[in-house]
Amino acid sequence: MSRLLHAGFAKLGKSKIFYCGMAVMFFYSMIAIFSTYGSKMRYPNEAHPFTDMTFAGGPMLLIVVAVFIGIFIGTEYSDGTIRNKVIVGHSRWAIYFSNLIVCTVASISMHLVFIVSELIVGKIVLDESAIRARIILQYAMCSIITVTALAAICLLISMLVQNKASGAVMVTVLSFALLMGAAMINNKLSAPKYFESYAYMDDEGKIHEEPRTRNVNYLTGTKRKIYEFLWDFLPSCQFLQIGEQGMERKDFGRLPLYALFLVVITTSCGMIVFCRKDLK
Amino acid sequence: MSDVLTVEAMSKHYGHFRALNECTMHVPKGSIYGFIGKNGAGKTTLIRLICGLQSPTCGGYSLYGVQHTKKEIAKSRRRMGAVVETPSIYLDMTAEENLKEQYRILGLPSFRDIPKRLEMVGLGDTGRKKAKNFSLGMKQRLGIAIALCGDPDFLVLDEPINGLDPQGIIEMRELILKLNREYQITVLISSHILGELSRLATHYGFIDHGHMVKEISAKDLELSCRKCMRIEVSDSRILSCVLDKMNLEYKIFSDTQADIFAEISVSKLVLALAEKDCEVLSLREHDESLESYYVNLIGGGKDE
Repeated sequence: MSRLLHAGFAKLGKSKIFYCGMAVMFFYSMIAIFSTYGSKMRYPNEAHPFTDMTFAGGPMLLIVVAVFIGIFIGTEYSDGTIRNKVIVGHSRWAIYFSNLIVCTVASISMHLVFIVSELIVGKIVLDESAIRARIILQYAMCSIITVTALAAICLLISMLVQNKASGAVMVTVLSFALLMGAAMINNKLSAPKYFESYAYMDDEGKIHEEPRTRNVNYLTGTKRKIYEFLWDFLPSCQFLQIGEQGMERKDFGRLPLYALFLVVITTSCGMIVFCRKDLK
Repeated sequence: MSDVLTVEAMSKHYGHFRALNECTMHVPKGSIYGFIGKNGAGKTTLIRLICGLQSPTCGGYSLYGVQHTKKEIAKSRRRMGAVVETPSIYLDMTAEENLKEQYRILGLPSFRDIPKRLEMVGLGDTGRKKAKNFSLGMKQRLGIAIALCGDPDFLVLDEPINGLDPQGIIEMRELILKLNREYQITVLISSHILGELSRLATHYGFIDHGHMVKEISAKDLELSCRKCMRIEVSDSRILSCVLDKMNLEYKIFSDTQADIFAEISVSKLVLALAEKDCEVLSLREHDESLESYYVNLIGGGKDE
């Protein structure tokens, strides 16, 4: 498999789509920094720690990684070069696993471009907080495992769909679906249980008082548990949690475990199906 | 001569469709095996199966004597190269970069002989030109160069001359002959262009509806195809005696018909047969090409 990895990384080094992905993440980090800088200029009395945005690149990374893997792996099928590996006797599982490693490393690299440029340029431009190295490292580790899970999901689809265009479209649509799903779950879970009581004056000058009422959209019971599980389980939801401002969270509980579980499940399923798949 | 590839009653079904139906094939070592069949006859399916891209539904094959189900088949595969359908090349890389990538896949330690290999297939002067800007012939040759990277002694080419211009066809023919004669590479080549195949092949396999109809060596095919007089008589045993006496080469293929492979005096032959009470029913010149042999064998046009 070392030969496949050597070839895979050499191909990655020449991949335009990989460098495009890196560039997108870099520019996105710049946008994040300078929008914070804009806020700092408008509201100079408020705190604007640059580390607030260090892990906020997740949602963009989700799309970039999906497009990258869809095209990078799809090209293997469209150019027919995956056949060269099979014909010379490499096992299917080795081909799948080497692709997983190459795609994961590429995805993590894009993620690190965002984090590192946030930290360096953010420190120079905003310079409001000291870098809390231990916490940043903890966040980085957790986010890297999430990125690995995301890469594993995208690879599963790309390896099983032999048409480059279809594969790329499917992973991109999936990434948007994951993002929208995460936003919806976040919205549902953050809905208040009660609407607080309030008073208002009508046109005739009468004061009305509304009592504290229960929010009918507030999730309870099994439904809430399912949503909470998805909030921890889905990579897009994990990105939102990791990217929350303040970096106040002390630990990520089951998040890395769920991400690792996703990696194992998607890779196992992908390998089983790919090993039995008829290649054209 | 031992066989490089032996296919034994191999079948491949896609749902209810039988792309390959108990197909049998023997590719002798050192041969150029011409694999002939209509569109959809099962040529590419068989090639995909022997390249490990797909698995047979039943039956199997052995490569260098190793059954496809055994683990050692991976080692045997390292001794083969293939161009299946379209050439498998990275379009956004140059010819040299494509070969380097294949060298890495094979784990070859040095890129030193890449220029020599490109020269061999006539792509020595492509420089920094990307493969996407190559002509079809150049892409085919690059595909072959990639297939040759591991110094294989068995090369599988699926329709390598499709879409090539006349010059490209000549170059491809010369390349295949060179690989076979100078490097002793066994070549399995599928093609529709029978005239071109007849200039290359040392053995033929005719496939129809996923089944091997006939395997024949070029020598045997030449014997049955060469220019002759086809004669129809009332008794071929008498004809045989007369032809033996006249010391002529012939081949009897029914009780009344035979082919005579020599310049003959028709009147002498007719008189000699008449003396023995054998009537000549018809006599005509017969010149069978690979194409007519194929049409006779497969029943051309029936399904096309």
